[in-house]
Amino acid sequence: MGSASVVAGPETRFTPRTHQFCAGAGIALAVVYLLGFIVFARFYPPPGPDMPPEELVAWLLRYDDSLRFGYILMICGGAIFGFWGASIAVWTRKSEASLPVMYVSQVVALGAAVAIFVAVPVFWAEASFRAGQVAPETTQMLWDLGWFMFLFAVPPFITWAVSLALSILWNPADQQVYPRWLGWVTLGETVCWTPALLVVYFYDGPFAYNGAVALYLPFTLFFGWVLVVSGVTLRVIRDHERTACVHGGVYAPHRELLDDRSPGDGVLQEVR
Amino acid sequence: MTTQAPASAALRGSADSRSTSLDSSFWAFLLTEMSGFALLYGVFVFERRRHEAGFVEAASRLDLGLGVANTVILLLASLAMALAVQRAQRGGVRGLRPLLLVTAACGVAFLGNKVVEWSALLRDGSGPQVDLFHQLYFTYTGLHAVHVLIALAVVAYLWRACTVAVFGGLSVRQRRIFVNGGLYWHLVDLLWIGLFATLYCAG
Repeated sequence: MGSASVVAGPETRFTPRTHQFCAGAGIALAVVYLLGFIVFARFYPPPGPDMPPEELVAWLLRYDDSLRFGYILMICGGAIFGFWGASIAVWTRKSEASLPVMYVSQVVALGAAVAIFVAVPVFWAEASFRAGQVAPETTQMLWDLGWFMFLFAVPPFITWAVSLALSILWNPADQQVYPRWLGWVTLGETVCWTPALLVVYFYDGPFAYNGAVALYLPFTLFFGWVLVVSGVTLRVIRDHERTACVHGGVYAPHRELLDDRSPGDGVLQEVR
Repeated sequence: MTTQAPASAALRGSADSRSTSLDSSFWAFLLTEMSGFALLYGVFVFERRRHEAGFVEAASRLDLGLGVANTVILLLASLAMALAVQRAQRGGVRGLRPLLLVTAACGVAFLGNKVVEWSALLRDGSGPQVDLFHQLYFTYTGLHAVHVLIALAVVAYLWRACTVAVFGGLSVRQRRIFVNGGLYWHLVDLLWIGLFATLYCAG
């Protein structure tokens, strides 16, 4: 008996390269952003809210060229963020059926997060751009604005991560591509990001915007999490690519690889 | 003819753990939380070394008796929760609700004590903006209090699970949530012991 021949349609096509590009963007984002933040912008630590405005202006002018290049790297890193977030959202979409609320929630929050990530260096760049030409207090306010956008505006990142975590933990396990521990780690991460909200109260100490707890705790954990999620996503893509290759390049997104479903259901069918 | 592909390990996820009441992946959450608080403790120790005299003086003004009372209260809550988990793992709901009630009462008592303590400090002019010690004290105990609130929400959920499961017994999923809830309470307790040792005993 001859095998049924099915043409692989758009519902079952899978292009590993595009997914690897987007998932790998997380690693690129981390490298580019950290290069800008640490090496060129010299934020170790950055001038804090308790620094007198004149001293801040002098610091900005002293490292002017290096700072400006750092802002360029950071804004580019922020833009790359969109690729990476999209890759994760798409893979968690697989675990939701016809009402993908957590997927939509991720996408919405991701949009806000990318906007924030891109807007932050704009304020710092403007502070450097006019440093010494406007009142030092104006420069300081722009500087503060950048840090408030960077840290105080953390809630969209939290809602995005919670959407991701819940889509892993609450959707059916047999439809999941991500391991449960990643959902739990993501939830734990969001708790560790909340101290960033306290920058509105403090002008010095660990909870100021240049402090160990408000800045470096969420910052370090965030980029560590980005690298972990990128690695896991790349592994997921590799596993699916292997499956697709075994079956002649037709993608099978679900475990129920059964006989009598139409191609529109995304079920594996052998192509001859 | 169609063939069935070997399901990838990634697709299987951790479905195997769902057949028991143990969810080893929950430890990833606990470890992440503990890492965050470990950094908080580290920051406190670092800052105490830099401002020793000020920290000792400020810590001596904290109410050690309330701190000890809160420690005992949370230990009692942990004990009640551990007993509840032990019973829940057998599947029945008998005797669970009184234990959950004790746990919740201890959590509420703890939060009540914190409110009393914070109010007293604020009345004495020792708010979070006064000095570095009080900044750390209020933010750390505030973060911990949020964890206690979440733990109370977990207890409320478990109470509801018991109410629903009266006739049929607890499902595997509900037993797993009991185990995870118990672990979370122990985490809250452990974090408080760390806070008590660093903040109250700093004097």
